[in-house]
Amino acid sequence: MGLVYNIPLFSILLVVVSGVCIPLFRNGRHVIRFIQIVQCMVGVGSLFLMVELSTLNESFTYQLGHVPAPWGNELRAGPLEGLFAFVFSLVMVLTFSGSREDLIADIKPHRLGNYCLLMQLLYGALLAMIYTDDLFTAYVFVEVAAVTACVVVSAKESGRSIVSAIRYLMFNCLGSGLFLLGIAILYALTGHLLFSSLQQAVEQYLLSGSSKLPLIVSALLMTLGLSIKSAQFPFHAWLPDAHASATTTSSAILSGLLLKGYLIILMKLMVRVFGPFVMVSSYLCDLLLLLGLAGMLFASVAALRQEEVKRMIAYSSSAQISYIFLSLGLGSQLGLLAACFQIIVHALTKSMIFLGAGAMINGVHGHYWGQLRGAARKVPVGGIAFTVGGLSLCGIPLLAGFSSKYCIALAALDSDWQMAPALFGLAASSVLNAMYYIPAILVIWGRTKPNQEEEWNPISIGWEQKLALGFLLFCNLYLGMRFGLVRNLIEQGINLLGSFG
Amino acid sequence: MKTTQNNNSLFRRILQWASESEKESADAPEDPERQEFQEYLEYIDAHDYIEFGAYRYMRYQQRKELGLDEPTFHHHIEPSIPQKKQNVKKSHHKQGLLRKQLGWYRIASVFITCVIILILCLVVMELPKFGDLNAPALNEVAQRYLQQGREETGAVNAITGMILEYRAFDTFGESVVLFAAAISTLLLLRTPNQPLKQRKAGDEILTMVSKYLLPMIILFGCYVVLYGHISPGGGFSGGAILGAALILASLVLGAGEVERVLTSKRVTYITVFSLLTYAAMKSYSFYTGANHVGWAIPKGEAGHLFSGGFLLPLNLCVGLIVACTMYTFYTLFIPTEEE
Repeated sequence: MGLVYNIPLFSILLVVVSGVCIPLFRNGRHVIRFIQIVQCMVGVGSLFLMVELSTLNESFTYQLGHVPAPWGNELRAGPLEGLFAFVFSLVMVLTFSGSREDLIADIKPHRLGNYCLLMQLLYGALLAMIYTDDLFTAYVFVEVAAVTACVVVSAKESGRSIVSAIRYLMFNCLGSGLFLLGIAILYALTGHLLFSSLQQAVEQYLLSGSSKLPLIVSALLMTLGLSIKSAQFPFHAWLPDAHASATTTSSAILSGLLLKGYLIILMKLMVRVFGPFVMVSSYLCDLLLLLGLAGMLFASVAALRQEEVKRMIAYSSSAQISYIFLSLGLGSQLGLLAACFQIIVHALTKSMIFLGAGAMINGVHGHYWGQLRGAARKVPVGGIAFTVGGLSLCGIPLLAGFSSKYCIALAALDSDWQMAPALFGLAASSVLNAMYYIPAILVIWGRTKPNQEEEWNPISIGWEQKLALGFLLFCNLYLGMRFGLVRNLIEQGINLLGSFG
Repeated sequence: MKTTQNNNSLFRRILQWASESEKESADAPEDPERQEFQEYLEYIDAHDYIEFGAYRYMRYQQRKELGLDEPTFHHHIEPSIPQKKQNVKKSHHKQGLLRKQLGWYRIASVFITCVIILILCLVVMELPKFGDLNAPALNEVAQRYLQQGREETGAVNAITGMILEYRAFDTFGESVVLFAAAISTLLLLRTPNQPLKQRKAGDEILTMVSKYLLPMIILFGCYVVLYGHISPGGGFSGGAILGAALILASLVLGAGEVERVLTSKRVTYITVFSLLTYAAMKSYSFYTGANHVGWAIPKGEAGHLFSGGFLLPLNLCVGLIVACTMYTFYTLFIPTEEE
C-alpha cells in the first residue's frame, strides 16, 4: 500500500490535531496563519490523492486499526472524495484569507484562538463526512459539526447572532435526533453500520419483501434529518438569521461548505445503502424532487423581499441547495453528477459572494440596501466579486452557475415525467435569481446622489483579500468555460462509488 | 456612568410629569394619559408590579367590556408619522391574523405529532423484539466482539475492547465532541482577567464528612478508569466520577481551594494533552494496522493491570478529558454570590 492511501486518515487527523493544539498559542493572529498552513497542506494532499486515483481509475477502503471493516472502522476514498476534499480545503483557505480583516474586527482578541479552533474542528468534521464509509462515524462527525457551527454563529456576540444561534441549535438538535432515529431503526433491522454491509442486508430485505415499512421510515427519517440540517425549503427558517448575523467568515463557510457536508452523506446513503429500488418504491426520489422544486421557487421569492444584503444571500443559499435536491430527486446517474457539480460550484460561488458582500459592508459600514448604494465604487474588488457571483447564480453563460444549470438541465432531459417540472423550475428560479441579484448589482454600482458625477475614490484593502477574491473569480470563470475536466472527474468518481439509476 | 445618569433623570422627569396635575389649577383640562399613569402607580402600590403596557392593555379590555369610550390622548408627536405607519400596516396584513394562525399552528403541530407517533409505533411493531436471539443485530459483528475480543484486544471488558480498539475512530470523534463542547462554553462564557467567582465553603458537617469522603471518591474514580479494560467501567464512566469529585471539592472546600491546583488554564492544557496523546497513540495503531506493518503493541496477559496494549493509557486519556470537561462546565456555570 503506497503512501497515497494514507492521505484521507492523515488529513482528518492533521486537521483535528492542529485544532486541538491551538490553546497552546498565545496570539490569535498567529493562529489564523497556522490553521491556513494546515489547510493548504491538506488541500495539496487531497489534490495529489485525486490526481493519483483518477489516473489509476480506482477507489479504495482504508482499514482503521488492526481489524478489518465490519468489526472496525473504515474510510473510503475515490476521485470524487478527493475532489470534494480539495475544493473544501481551497474554500477554507481562501475564506480565511479573504475575511481576515473582518475576523479580527468582529471577534474579540481573546476569543480569536478558540474561534479558529472550532472552525478547524468543523473543517475536520467536514473531511470526515466526505471520507466516511460508516453510518455511525458519519453521525459522530455530524455532531461535531453541529456543536461547532452553532458557536461559530454566536461568536460575534451581537444580540441577534445569539438569538439566531439558539434557534439554529434547536433545528440542529431536531435534525440530529431524526437522523439518529433513522440509524437506530436501520441498525435494529440489519445489525450493521458499514455502508457496504448495510447495502447487502437491505437488498436481502427487498428480495424477501419483509419489513418494508421500517426500511422506508428509516430512509425518510434520515433524509428529513439531513434536509433540516442543510436548510432545505420548509425547514430553512433558521438559515437567514444564522448566516446573516454571523461574521463573514462564518457565513461564507457555513453557507458554502457545511450545508454541503450533510448532502454528501445523504448522497452516499442514496447510492451506497438504499440504492435506486428503495428510493423509487418509497417515492423518496419524488419527495426530494418536490422539496427541491418548492425550495427553488419559495426561497427565491423570500429572497426578493429582503432589505439586508446578507439575508438575501442566505435565502439564495437555500434556493441553491434546492437545486441539489432537485437533481438528486431525478434519481439517475446524470442527476447525481449534476448534484455533485452544483455542490462544487455553489461552494466556490457562495463563499465569493459572501466575501464580496462582507468587504462592501466593511467599506460603507452598513448592510441595508439604502446604505450600500454605491458601495462597489468604494470597494471595487468586493463589488466585482459580488457582481460576478450574482450573475453566475443567475446562469449567465461563461460563468460557473451556467455550467451547473446546464448539467441539471441535461439530467432533466434524460428523465421521464420529471423533465417538464424540473426544466420549468430551473427556468423560473433563474428568472427569480435575476430579479433579486440584478437590482442588487445595480444598487451597489449606482451613484449615491442622482445626476452627480462622483469621484472614484476606492478604499484600499489588503493584498490577501484581493488575492483570495481574485482566485475565487478565476475558479468561477474556469468552471464556467472549461468544466469538462471537472465533470469527467465527477463522472469517474460516481461510477466508482456505485451504480445508481 | 453616563447611562445611569440619563436613566435617573428620565425617571425623575416621569415622576414630575405624573405629579404635576396636583400643582396645576382645577380648571386646566385633565390629561387622560397622566391620569391613567397615576392610576397605574396606585395599582402597583396595591398589587404586584406590572408593566405599563400590560396595564394599559388590561384597562383597555376592561373599558371594552363595560362599553366605555377610549379616552383621547393628545400626543405631542406630529400626527403624520403614526398615520403613515398605520397605512403601511393596513396594506400588509389584517389585524388578528397572527393569532388565528397561532391556533391553527397548535392544532397542526398536535396532529403531526400524533401521526409521527402512530407511524413510529407501527415501525416498532415490525422491528425484532428486544432480547430476541434471532435478531439481526446479533450477527457476526457482535459475535466476534464477544468471542475473540479478549484474544484480539487483551481486554476482559468487551465494551472497552470495542470502543477503544475495534471502533476507536468513533471514540476519537466522541472525545472531539466533548472537547468542542468544552471550548464552546469557554468561548461564550469566559472573559479574561475576570475575578474568580468566590463561593463560601459549605457548613461544618458537610465539610467534615466530605473531607473523609472525597479521597475515597477520587480513589474509586481512578480505579474505574484504570481497571476499565478488566472490570466494568472505563474512561467515560470513571471520568464522570472524577469530574463529580472535582465539583464536590469545589462546592465544599470553596472554588478558590481547587483553583489553586487546577486553574482553568491548566484544565484546558490537561484536556489538550490528553487528546493529543490519544490521537498520537491511535494514529500509530491506525497506521500500522492499515499498512500491515506489524509493530503491534504487546497485549500482555488478559486480566492483568498492564495488559491490552494501549487500552490503559487510552482509558486514562478519555477519563481525563471527561473529568476536565465536566469541571469546566461547572466552573463556567457557577452562580455568583449576588445571585
